[in-house]
Amino acid sequence: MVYTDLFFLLALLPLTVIISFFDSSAEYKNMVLIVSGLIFISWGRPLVCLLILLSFIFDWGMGLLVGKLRDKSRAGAAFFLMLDMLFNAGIFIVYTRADVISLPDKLTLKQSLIPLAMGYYVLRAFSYVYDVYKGEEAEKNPLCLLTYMVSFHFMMCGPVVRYKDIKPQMRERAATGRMMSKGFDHIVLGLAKVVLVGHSLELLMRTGLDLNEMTLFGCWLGMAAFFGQAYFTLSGLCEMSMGMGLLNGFTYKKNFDDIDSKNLFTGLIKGYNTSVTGFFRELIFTPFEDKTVLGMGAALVTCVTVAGWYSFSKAAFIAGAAAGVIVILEMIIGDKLRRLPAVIRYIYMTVLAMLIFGGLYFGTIYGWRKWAFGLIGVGDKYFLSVRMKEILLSNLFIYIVGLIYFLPAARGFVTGSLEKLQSRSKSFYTGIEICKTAVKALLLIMCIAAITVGKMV
Amino acid sequence: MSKYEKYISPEGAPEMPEDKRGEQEIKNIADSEQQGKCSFINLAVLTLALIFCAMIVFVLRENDYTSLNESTKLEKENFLSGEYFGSLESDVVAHLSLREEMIIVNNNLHYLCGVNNEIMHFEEEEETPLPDNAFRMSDPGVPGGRNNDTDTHEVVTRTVTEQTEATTKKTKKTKKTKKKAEETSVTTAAKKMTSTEAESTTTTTTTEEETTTTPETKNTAPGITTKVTTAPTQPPATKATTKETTKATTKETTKATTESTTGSTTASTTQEETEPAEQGEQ
Repeated sequence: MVYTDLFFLLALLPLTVIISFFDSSAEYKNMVLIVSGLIFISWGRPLVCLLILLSFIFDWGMGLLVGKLRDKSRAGAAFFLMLDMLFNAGIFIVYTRADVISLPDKLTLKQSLIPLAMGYYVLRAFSYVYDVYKGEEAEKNPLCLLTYMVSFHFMMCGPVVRYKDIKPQMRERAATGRMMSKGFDHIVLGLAKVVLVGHSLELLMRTGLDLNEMTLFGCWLGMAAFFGQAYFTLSGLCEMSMGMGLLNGFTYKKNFDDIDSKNLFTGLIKGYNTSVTGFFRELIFTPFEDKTVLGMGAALVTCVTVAGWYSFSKAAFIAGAAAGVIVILEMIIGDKLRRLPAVIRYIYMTVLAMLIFGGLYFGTIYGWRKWAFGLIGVGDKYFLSVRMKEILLSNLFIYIVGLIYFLPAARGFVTGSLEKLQSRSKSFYTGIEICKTAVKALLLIMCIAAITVGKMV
Repeated sequence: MSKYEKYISPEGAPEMPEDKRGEQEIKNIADSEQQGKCSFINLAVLTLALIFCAMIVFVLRENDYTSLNESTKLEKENFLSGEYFGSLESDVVAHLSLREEMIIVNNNLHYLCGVNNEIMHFEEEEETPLPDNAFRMSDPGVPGGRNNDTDTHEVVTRTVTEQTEATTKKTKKTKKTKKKAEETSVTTAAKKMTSTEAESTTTTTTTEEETTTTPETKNTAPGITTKVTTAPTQPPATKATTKETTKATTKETTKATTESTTGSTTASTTQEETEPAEQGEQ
């Protein structure tokens, strides 16, 4: 299943929330989450359940072993940590690159989980053993850990919640009415980001970056749409995940930071999916942070690993290495760059991000080169194609809304104005809140209709 | 009387300073209550919206779920391979009873949200010669005549006059509507002028140079005589759905009014209410 599946949104999710209210104990709620999580993962491929359980048993055992060994023999604990890392990396490579490695069709997870979600699964499993190695207490109750591993709101594209952060909530939590209301808000907004904004941007991206009809504006706008689509899809799924967590009484940290030009290109990488980049940074970069040369090498390795985690492909590794080089340069001349005017810093970040991560879209040097030349008008057929113009104009409103949401200053202005209006009087407050609710209900119906009609075609 | 007596009596009691923290707390509680109410409304509305969607997708179906068991039987092989769940999913979408409505809702809501809106193309219309009719003449107008100016957007002034008593007696169906006694002036666009009536619909386009008798509508006062300042380019689109009940009276009125007023009637049939007004105009 995926988060935008009708069966999930209209059946599994509401049923899980309703059933979990029959008993207030955390153990009961955990059991409900385990069962629903296994249905979620194995939908369409029930055999996958066994593989997930097998992987869970391995990680749980490794956690206990590392927990026991870390005081007696640090080397022994490190060995088992490495073993666990290799095991999870193996699962990740096999399931996300099943087209490279010949695997029986029944074993592939592509139909039931998107590869990125498998990346989250293995990262979460490894992060638990890593935390135990770093000094956290190993979980003795397998059901608590299983809840953490298979719950659908931890599962897909959500923030990589570390077990040490969520452990107290595993044993005691309560979903209040306000939390549930907030949770619903997150789910609806996340769904709208994925279904409405993400889909509209995808249209623009496909048309703009069509190698057969390269146009000057298409090259720029298409790549901007590529970034926008990636941002809105991932942040939307993440928001949905947070909303589902709130419905079940869990609270997570924010996973996406606003763009700040003062943090330069490095800040751009750090701010995108903070829980993932934060974990890799802690794992690879932090031990060498104080050392200049080793620190630079570690930064490069971190960037390559993060890129490989997103997409285990040659293009991703090259893009990761290029990003690593920029990060190293910013470690050296970052202070000088920060003195530049904000506009120039934004242009610098945008152009670099487009050139480096543009390669991920094309996957080949030929495509990337053609597009890069197209950015400066070389090899372009026209300024703007008819199809591009039509898509741009027909979706203009949603693009403007997306842009306002994306830019912190514009978003702050809108939310600030609304809050100011709400603080005037109680009736203003209630009126605006009701309007917001109406818009959210409309968005929910719109998204469900879009998903249903999309499946009809 | 002790020296502390004055403090015991209510009059002499010192004023206690107001605790601002208490006020703040009360305000916070009030705000919190209001937020709680709004949260509850939000939760209730979104839950209802979700239930509504689930009802449409899973409950209101063309067929029941047992039909799936007939076509795809639950067996070990198709269960483990995921084929059973796959067919269940496609079956749900394939047998939505509100299929068409769902598509319409999807399209309309998308327009609202600004997704995949249609773009209006402005293209120059080709001028095609239109056939001559009561409202449009191919030959140039009379020098100094009012019809010379052929601006299609020119305003037409209609003068709605009172329905005379004699006519209202003849009309049986529309008696109740003819009660207005004042004379009003209505300004409308040329194309809108040709609105039609749903019930007694036979219309007359009696023209005498600039004067046109418009068909009356149910919503307007009866007996409308229009004084046209500009001849419109399009002929009025009128529906001729005369009811049997009005036929007799219509014929009578047609004869009486057309002969006395215009003498040359272009239309074949006339609605009885229009003519007395025309008489009145002239």
